[in-house]
Amino acid sequence: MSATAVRPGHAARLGRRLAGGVRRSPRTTRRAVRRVPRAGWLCALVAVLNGLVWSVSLPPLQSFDETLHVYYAQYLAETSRTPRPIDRTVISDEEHTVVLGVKLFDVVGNADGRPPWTVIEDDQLTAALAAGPSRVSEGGSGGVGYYPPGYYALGAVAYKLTPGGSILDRMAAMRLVSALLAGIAVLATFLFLRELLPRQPWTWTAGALTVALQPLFGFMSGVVNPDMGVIAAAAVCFWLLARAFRRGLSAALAVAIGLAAAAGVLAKLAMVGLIPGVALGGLLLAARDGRWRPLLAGAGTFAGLMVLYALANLTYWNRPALPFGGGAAPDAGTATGTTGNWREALVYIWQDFLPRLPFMQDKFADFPLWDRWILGWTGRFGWGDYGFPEWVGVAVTATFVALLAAAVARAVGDRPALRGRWREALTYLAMAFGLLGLLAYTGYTYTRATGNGFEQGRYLLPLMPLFALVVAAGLRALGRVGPAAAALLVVACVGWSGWALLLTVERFYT
Amino acid sequence: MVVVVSLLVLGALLLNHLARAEPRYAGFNSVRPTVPVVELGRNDRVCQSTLLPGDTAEIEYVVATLGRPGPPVAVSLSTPEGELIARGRLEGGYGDGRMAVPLDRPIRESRATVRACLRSTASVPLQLVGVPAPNGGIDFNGEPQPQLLTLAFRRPGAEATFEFLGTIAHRFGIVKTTIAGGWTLWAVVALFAFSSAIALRLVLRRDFGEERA
Repeated sequence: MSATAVRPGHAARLGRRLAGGVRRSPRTTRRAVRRVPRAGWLCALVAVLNGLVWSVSLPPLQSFDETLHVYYAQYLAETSRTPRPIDRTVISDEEHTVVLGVKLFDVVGNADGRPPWTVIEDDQLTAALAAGPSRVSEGGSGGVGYYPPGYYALGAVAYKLTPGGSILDRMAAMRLVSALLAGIAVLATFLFLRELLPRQPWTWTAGALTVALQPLFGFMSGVVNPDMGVIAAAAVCFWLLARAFRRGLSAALAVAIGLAAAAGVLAKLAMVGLIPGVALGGLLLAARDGRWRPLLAGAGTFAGLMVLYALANLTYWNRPALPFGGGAAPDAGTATGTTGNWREALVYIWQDFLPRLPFMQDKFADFPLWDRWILGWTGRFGWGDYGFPEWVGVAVTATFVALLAAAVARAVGDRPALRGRWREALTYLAMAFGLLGLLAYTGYTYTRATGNGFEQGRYLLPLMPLFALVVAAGLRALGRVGPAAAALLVVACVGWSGWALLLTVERFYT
Repeated sequence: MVVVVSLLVLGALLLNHLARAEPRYAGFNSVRPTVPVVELGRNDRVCQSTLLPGDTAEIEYVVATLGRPGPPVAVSLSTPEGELIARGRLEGGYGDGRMAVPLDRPIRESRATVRACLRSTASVPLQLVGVPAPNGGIDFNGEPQPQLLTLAFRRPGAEATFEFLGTIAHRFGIVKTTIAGGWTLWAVVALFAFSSAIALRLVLRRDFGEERA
């Protein structure tokens, strides 16, 4: 972290002074946006283009639960209503026609399965769609009946704006929403690093590019999935909080944080895991600066939007006020009696990330931290049925650990400068552990309810700004060789990303 | 310099990968090879309707030979009306796994529906792998059976990815958007190259690595 940190003795006064300086924050914020370095926009462009590349490279519906996410967006676009947690038909006849036409479930998990390759099959699907199958189902749950509509509303806009009415074109347009959100996430990551490492602009670029070129991030940027809404909102929260810790929490900044947090929750409930950390950050900032009004403005914004959402659920969408469901299909942990007991839950949560202790019952046949979280994060694609060989995970982890060690070593040397940043560090840790805790608990309830594994590397993507921070801080800690190492790392990421695309071409087209 | 060398290494790895020649597939029927669903004895015949992709030179089944050398087999491909399209024959002696039967003539054009029949010509048992399919579609010695066989269709010889790129590009444009076509793969390659070039340009700038006072 930066040597320009607020020193503890002056923190409160400086915070007040800074906060006073940003009372004219709307103009200041606009100016700040205009002052985003060109490199930041270019990093975002790399992310958008990679998302576009992935969106075109993947056959329709060939990503985790994309059938359900397309269903939700289509249902919302066609009816202005959300699916509900009821036992009714789910995907529309039109989407079902596509599912059959692209042989979706013959391909998923089947090494001998390929999507259609012939013009005959293309024509057959076109003819089946031309018969005009229904675009609206009965709006059943399918596992997304509790999901909030924020991300899907963007998808619905893309759906409506697509000329011609072809479902395949509309699905492609919906994927582009994710690519644009990837651009927002990478730009916010760049700005987050700018706040934290203000004297090393090259580290902002290096960190943001490692996010933009991370294969799983690219893959998710090219598919219809509300995770991208959470990823973008989380990145914006990290950036705005970093800004607030550096410049003081103004009312405008607090409202922006509240909006970003609410947008994340309205995109997907996984964002709830980050909210305690965001709230803690707001409290620590308010206490440091001795100004509570901005915090109230931010909290009010967040709460107000949640109340509006709850009212819309109760009145218009006929759902529970603040529905909380688990992962996609089925509604894990929502049925009575599926939540288990706390002792069992704690054992599960422990083993989700740490080695089993001798007195614990074994909850996993594998070691989830490695086999599910890390290997999943380094690259597992499609419906999780293809990815890199394991040594790639080893290489990526070794690189990350080396950069983390370098960053920690540098931080230890910078202790005086960092001492005043404990609030900020605590905030980010609370956000990270909040998300991990929620994921582990959701995994527990999901596994208990369904017997299936829950953990997937993609759920860690909202923490990409922290990953970028480790990369950037680690590179900075390398001293004079840091920039060369950064360039090498970006080349490696280009290769990593390109290899993932090559695997995708080989999985579906050879 | 480090960047240039690493880019050259990446390029060399890519070229090596693309130049590797191996047998390629013309298509799959995408039936999961789950369990043995049929056992053939001498002169038993199993038939299944399937799409026949163009450029097919061999038809492939997934088999289990119960630890013995597999029996000689014969295949025939015919139209639904019974017109013969191609025949094939394979000598015995193969083992468990994929059994590819070469056809006597190449298949140029894809056909929506053909009838693919396999006959064992020896008494050694041969199990064919596929899935149970309640609505499914094989007939065994003329009797309909609720199973489907896993089939794949191989292209002639072995091809490097370089030689095969046109075919990949064609497949890349199938069942996507209304404007997708053979050009889509090239557009994707160009976009990825462009985004990579932006990324590399950003870290190769002269001022990359400079610090602020």
